[in-house]
Amino acid sequence: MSVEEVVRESLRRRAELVQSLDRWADVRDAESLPPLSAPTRSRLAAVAVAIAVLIPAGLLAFAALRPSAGESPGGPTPGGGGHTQESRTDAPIEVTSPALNANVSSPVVIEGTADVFEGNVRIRIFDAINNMIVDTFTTATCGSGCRGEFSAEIEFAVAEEQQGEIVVFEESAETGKPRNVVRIPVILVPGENLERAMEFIGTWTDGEGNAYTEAELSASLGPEHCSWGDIVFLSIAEPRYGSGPVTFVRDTTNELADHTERAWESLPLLLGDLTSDGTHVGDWELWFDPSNPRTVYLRHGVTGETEVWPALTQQIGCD
Amino acid sequence: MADDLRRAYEAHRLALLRLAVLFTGADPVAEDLVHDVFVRSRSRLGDLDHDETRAYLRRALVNAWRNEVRHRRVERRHEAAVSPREVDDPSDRIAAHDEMWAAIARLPERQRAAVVLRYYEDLSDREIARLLGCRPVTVRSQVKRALAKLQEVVRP
Repeated sequence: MSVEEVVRESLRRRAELVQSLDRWADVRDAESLPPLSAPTRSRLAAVAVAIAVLIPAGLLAFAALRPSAGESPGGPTPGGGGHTQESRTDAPIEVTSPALNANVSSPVVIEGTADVFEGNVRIRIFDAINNMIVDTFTTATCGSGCRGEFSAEIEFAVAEEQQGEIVVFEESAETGKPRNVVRIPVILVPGENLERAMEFIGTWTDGEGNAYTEAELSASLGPEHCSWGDIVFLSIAEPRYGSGPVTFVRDTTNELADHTERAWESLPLLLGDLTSDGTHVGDWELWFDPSNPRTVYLRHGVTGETEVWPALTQQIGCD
Repeated sequence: MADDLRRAYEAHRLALLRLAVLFTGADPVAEDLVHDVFVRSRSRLGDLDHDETRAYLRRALVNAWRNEVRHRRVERRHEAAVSPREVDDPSDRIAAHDEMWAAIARLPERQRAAVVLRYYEDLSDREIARLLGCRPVTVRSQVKRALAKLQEVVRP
C-alpha cells in the first residue's frame, strides 16, 4: 500500500467518525447577528487584550531581542544548540530545516528537535540590516527533560532577496535571556504573496483611463519591520467616502485582524449586487458593494478571481 | 434567506464538519468554525446551486480556518508571555487510534491543509492553490514535503 493510499484511508476513517452536528438552532438564532458569531467576537476581544498586554512587554524586551555576543558569537556554541549538519545529537536545540545558507521564502518551515523548558522554542528572523522581521515561538512535542520535535510554518516579508538569519533559541525560565542559541544564515527571498501584492502597486486609473492622483486613490505596501511588508493599503478619497479617505487592506495573513471588521477573503467569482466605475490597476478591477461601504472587491478581469478587502476601523501605524 | 440557509445547512453541514475536523484535528473547534461559516455565508447562499454552494462553503471554511490559525498563534504568544502551561492537544488522544492520522495532525498547518484537500477532497493542485492563496507549484512542494514525513509512518 503506497503512502498516498494510507493517507487517503486514514483521512476517510477519521472523517467518518464525525457523525452529526445539530446546532441548527444556534445558526438560526444567529441570523439577526452581524457576520461574526458571538464566540468568535469574544475570541477577538480576548486577542485584542492579549496584544494590549504584549506591546509594553515587547518594548521592554527590545534591548534583549537579538541573542548576541557572549551567547553564541558567529554560530552554534559548545553546549548550546546546533544545526544538524555540524552538531552533536545532545544539543538542546537542533534545527534540521532550513539548511544553512538555503534560499527561503515565506512561509518558511522551521523544523528540528529540542529538549527545552516546557518545550517552548523561540524563533526570530533578521534581515540583512539586522531588523528583526519575525519574533514568534513554537512548541516541541515534549520538553523539560525529554526531547520533542518542533515544526513551525512562519510567514515573513522582504521586498528583495537578501542575506538573513534565522535564530532559534530557548528563553531561560529564570532570567528570560536567550540560551542554547542556534543561528542559521539563510537567503531571504520575496514570497509569492508579495509578488501578488505588487500587482496592486502601480498606476490606478478610472474608467476613462485617467490616472488618479495620490490624494484621490493610491495603494502602497506596509513597512517591513512590523511584518506588514506584503500588506497592501489602498486609500480611497472619492466623493463616495465624503468625510475623508478610507483605507482598505489586503491582509492575507490577518496581521491586522484587530483593526478590521472582517477578514480578507478570496472568492472564486464575484457575487452579489456590486458595482464598478471601471477603476482598475493592471488586470484588477475595483468593485463596490453599495450596501456595505466598508468593503471593496478586487476582481481579476481575466481569471474572475475576486478578493475581498476590508476597511481599517482606524488609522494605524507602527514604530 | 432563512430557507436558503436551512437547505444549505441540511445538505452540507456534515461534509463541512468532516473537512473542518481534518483541518483542525479537534471536534469542538471544527464545530465552531462550521457554525461561523454558515452564519457568515447566509446572505450569499440564495444565488448558488448545490455544487456552487458546496464550493463556496468549502472556501469559506478554509478562510475561517486560516483566521483561526492566526488567532491561535496570537493567543499562544500571549499565553507563553503570561502563563506558560501545558496545552491539551486533542489530536494526541486520537493518535493512539491511528498513527497516520496523528502524523497528519502534526504537519505544519499549510501542509496539512494541502494534504487534506488533495487526498480527502480530491481537488486539483490548481483548485488547492486558489483556496490557499498560493501557486500550484507551492501546493505540489507542500504535498511532497508532507508525504516525505508521512512515509516514515508506513515504513516497516
